[in-house]
Amino acid sequence: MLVANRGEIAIRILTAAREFGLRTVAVYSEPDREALHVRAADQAVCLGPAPAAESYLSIPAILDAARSTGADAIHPGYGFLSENAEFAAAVQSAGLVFIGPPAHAIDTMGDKAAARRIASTAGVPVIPGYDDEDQSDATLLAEAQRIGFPLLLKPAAGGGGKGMRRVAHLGDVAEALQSCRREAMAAFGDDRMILERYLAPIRHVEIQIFADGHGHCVHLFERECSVQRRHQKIIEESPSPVLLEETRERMGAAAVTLARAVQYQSAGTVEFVLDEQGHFYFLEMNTRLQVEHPVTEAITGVDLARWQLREASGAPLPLAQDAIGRRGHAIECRLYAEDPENGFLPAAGPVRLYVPPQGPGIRMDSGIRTGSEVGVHYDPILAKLIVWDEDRTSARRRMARALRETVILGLRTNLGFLRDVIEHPAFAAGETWTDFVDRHRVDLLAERSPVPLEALALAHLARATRDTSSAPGNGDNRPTTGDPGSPWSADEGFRLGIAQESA
Amino acid sequence: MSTTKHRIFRIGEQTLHVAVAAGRDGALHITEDEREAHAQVRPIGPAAWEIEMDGRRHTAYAVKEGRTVWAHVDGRVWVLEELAPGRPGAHPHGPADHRILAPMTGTVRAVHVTKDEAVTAGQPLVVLEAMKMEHVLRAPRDGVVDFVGCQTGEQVEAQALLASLAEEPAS
Repeated sequence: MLVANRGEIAIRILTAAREFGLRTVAVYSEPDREALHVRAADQAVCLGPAPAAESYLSIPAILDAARSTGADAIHPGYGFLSENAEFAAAVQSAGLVFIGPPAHAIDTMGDKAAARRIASTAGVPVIPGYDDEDQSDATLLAEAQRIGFPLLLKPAAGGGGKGMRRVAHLGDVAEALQSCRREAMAAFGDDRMILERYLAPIRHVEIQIFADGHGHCVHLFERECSVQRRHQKIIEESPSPVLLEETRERMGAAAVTLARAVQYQSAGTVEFVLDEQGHFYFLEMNTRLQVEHPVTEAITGVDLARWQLREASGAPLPLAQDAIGRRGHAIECRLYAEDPENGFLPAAGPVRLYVPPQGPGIRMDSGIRTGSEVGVHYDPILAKLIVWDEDRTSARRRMARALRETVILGLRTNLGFLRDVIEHPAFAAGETWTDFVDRHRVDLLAERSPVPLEALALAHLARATRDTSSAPGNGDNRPTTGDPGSPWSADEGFRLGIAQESA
Repeated sequence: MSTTKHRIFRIGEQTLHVAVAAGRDGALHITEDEREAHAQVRPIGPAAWEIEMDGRRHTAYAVKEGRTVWAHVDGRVWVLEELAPGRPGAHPHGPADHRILAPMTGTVRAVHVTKDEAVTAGQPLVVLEAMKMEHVLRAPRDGVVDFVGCQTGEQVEAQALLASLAEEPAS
C-alpha cells in the first residue's frame, strides 16, 4: 500500500497498514527526503521538487511511484489529493484500490454547492445562502446584499479555511472576493464561491460516519470542533460539552441519511453548525479520514484507519450501530508551526529540540523529531496531541499537563496558546463557540511579563555552553549540549541522550 | 568563590540587563533590574537542565542558535536574543510605521503599489502567501511609497523590507 501524503497522517496510516500486515510505500518531495514519514515505510519514492503541484499533488508522479514499487492500493490521507475525485478515479483506472470513498461520492460532496442542494433534498436543514452556478461579480454582490451581513464567503471546491472570509459590509465584498478566489484557485484549482449568512454564535459539531460496500452505514457520534482560528480547527473533543442525547441521535441519523444518499463508502464526516437554541444546520461533508479522527478512536475504541483498510479489502463493517459504544472524554490539540502573537502566521524553521509528553491516556501523532526542518511549502501542522480520560474535567487537566510537558524549540508554535485555551474558565465551562479565540483574545494573547528569572538563567546557561559536535542529533541541527567544561557538568546526573526524542 | 557575568537580552520590545554569579555545585545567583533569586541548576542531558528556584523545581530546556536562545520553562517558551554589550538593539530599518516588513517567510503573490504612489491607511500594498495562507500587508497610515523591495512571485524571508513610506514632513 502506498500513502500519498506526508507528515503525521502519513505515519498514522503507514503504521495502521503495517499492523494490518501490508507492505508499505511512502512518497516524498525533495525537501522531505529526511522527513520522518519516509522512514515509516518499507520503501520510499521521491515524487519531485518542493511545490506540491509537482510532488504531493502530482497524480502522474504518484501513479508512477505505485507502479514502480508494485503497490496495489493507495491511501490519500487528508489534504492534498484526498478529496480529489479525479485522483480516486485515476487510481481505479490504473487497476489499483483507492482507500477511501468512491470517486462519485467525492465528486458530489466536494462540490459544496451541490452538497448543500443534496442535504436540502434529503430533509437536512441548511444555512440560508447562495449556492448556484452563476458566479459573476454582479450576481454575487446582489446575492450578498439579499442574504445580509455579516456574510461568509467560502469556496465551493474545498474546506480547511483556505479561501474563506467573513465579510462585515457590502463595501468589503469585492476585495474579499478577489482574495478568496485567488486562494481557492491556488488551493483547489477552482474559484467558485458559496455565500452563506454568517451565523453567530455557533458551535461546530460534526458526525463521524462509516459505510461499507454491503449497504451498511453507521455513525460514531460527534466531535465538537468549535475552537478555531483563521476558520481552522485547533481543538476538538468528544462528546460535545452541550449536545443533548436526542439531538445527537437526530444528527447521527441525518449524517447517515446523507451518506446513503451518495452511496458512500469508507470513513467520512458530516459537519454541522449548532446554534444557541440547539438547532443544527448542514455545513459540508468531508469525504476523507479527518485530522481529528483520533478523538473518535479514543472514545469508541475503534481504529478508523484499520476499518478503512478492511473496508477497502471488501469486508463488511465489523460492528452494527447498536454495538458501537463510547466511554469517557477525549480532546485533541493541533500543534502548529505558527506565531499566535503575530496573527497566527505560519512560522517555518528547524526543530532543534522535540520532547513529546508521556503517560497514561496520551497519544501524540507527530510528524517531526529533533532535527526536522519545517519548510514553507506545506501545511504548518507539526503534531496532534490527543488525551483521553474518564470525564471532561479530568481530560482537560490531563491535556494541560501534557501541553506543559511538550517541548518544541527552534521555531514558533502554538503550544502555549493551546494551553491558555484549555485552562481558560470559558473552555472549562464548555462555552466553546467558533468565535472563542476572538472573544477571549485579550486573555489568551496577554503579554506574559516579566520574563521569569528561570528563563534568564537558562538563557545564560545556554549561551555559556560551548557548541560541541559530540551530541547525538541529526544533520546540522544539533541541539546545544551541556558543556563538559562548565562548572555543573561534573554532576553525576549528566547523561547524554536523555532529552532526545523518545517517540 | 564566584564570578559575575553580565548579559543583555532582548525579547520583543524589552531589553533586560542580567547579572549571573555562579557558585559551586550549580549554585547560581541571578539579578535582573530589581529582581533577584538564587537557583540551583544541573544539566540532565543535551539541552536539558533541572532548575530549582524559589522552592520550585522544573525540568527546563534551552537551545541556542547563534545569539538567540529558545528557553522552555514550565510549559512556556521564551526567545531571547543576547545583544553585544554597549550596543542597544536599535531596529535596523528605522521607525516602525514607515516600514512594511514581511511577517513571515513566503512568496509574494501581488504587489499593489509602485514607488511614489500616494496611499491611504489600510490600503493593501503587498499580498504574501506561505503554507497556502494569504496575508495582506496594508499601509499603516496615509503616505507616499518611497520604496518597493519585492516583486510578484519572489520568495522573501521573514522580516524582509518589502516596502516603505516616505517620512512625514516635520510639523
